[in-house]
Amino acid sequence: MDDISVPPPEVSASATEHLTYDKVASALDGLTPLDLARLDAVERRYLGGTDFAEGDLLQEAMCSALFEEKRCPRITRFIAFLVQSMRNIAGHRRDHLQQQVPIEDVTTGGRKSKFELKASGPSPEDAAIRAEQDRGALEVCAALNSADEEMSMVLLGWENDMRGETLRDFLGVDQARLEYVIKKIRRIARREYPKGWRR
Amino acid sequence: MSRDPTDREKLSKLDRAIDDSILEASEADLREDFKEAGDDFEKAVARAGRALEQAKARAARMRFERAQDESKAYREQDNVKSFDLAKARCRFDGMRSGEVAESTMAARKGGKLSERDEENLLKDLAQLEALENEDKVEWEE
Repeated sequence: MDDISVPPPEVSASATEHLTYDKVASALDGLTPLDLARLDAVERRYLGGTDFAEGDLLQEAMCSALFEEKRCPRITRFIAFLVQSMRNIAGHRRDHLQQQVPIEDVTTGGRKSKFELKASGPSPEDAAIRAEQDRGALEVCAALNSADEEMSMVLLGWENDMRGETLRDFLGVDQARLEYVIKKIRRIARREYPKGWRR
Repeated sequence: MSRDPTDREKLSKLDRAIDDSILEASEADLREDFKEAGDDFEKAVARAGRALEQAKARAARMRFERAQDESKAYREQDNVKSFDLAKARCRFDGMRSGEVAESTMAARKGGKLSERDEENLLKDLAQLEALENEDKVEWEE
């Protein structure tokens, strides 16, 4: 599943408004150990359903920024740009892998490890895959929402694009309490879905 | 009229919110997150650091290859411009008069070439000359 509600970074930036190779290289050099740990934590959330090994997805996001395949707008925080790139790259990779069907080995009747691409365009298989993904999403939403009332409220707020003060007011709690609840959600998500909720 | 978001859209929003919370988390909180998951902050830094170094190496390699290609293309272009159209003309005249052994003009049964044919042939010959020169240089190296 791709990041579907935010346009990809390359769409929103014109040539003069994005970071060039040198700027990207210097932004990469400027990443602190804390930034790197954050990127590592985000990366693992999107490995599920892809064939990326640890570190590969992050590397892809960095390379696509360097090669300017995905352009980072100057006004965007660089680390946030890398995070969104990882989401998009993983989503495309997942879709690509789901478009492949195993080739039957006629001689042995078994399955070969080779894959071929399905014909483009929606098919009954695509619809089945989509339905399966939707079922998975539904299960995850239900599991997270059933945890406790405060967590459910935060999740509901997030689903409605609430952040910061708006979210705090929605819950009727102070900042420290909000941070505590968010931390709880983050840790449950990592524990229950170590490689993200995509399969 | 706005429709309700699908479960997949809701999950996408949750994803972004959790990612944002990771980006905003303090170092202490993040260390705790890693520890609770049986992982280690320093190891995470090292993993991402490796990815960074590999990305930089890949980009450097790619830029080097691009520069090589561009330089080769430039050399070839330069050769075509300067390569001795006069020399190619000589060779061409030799071919036409039958003095040059490798001549393929026979295929045209001695028929007269159009101005455009002649121009293209000259360019081809010049290109051939450049490639021969390049081969010679590589051989000497």
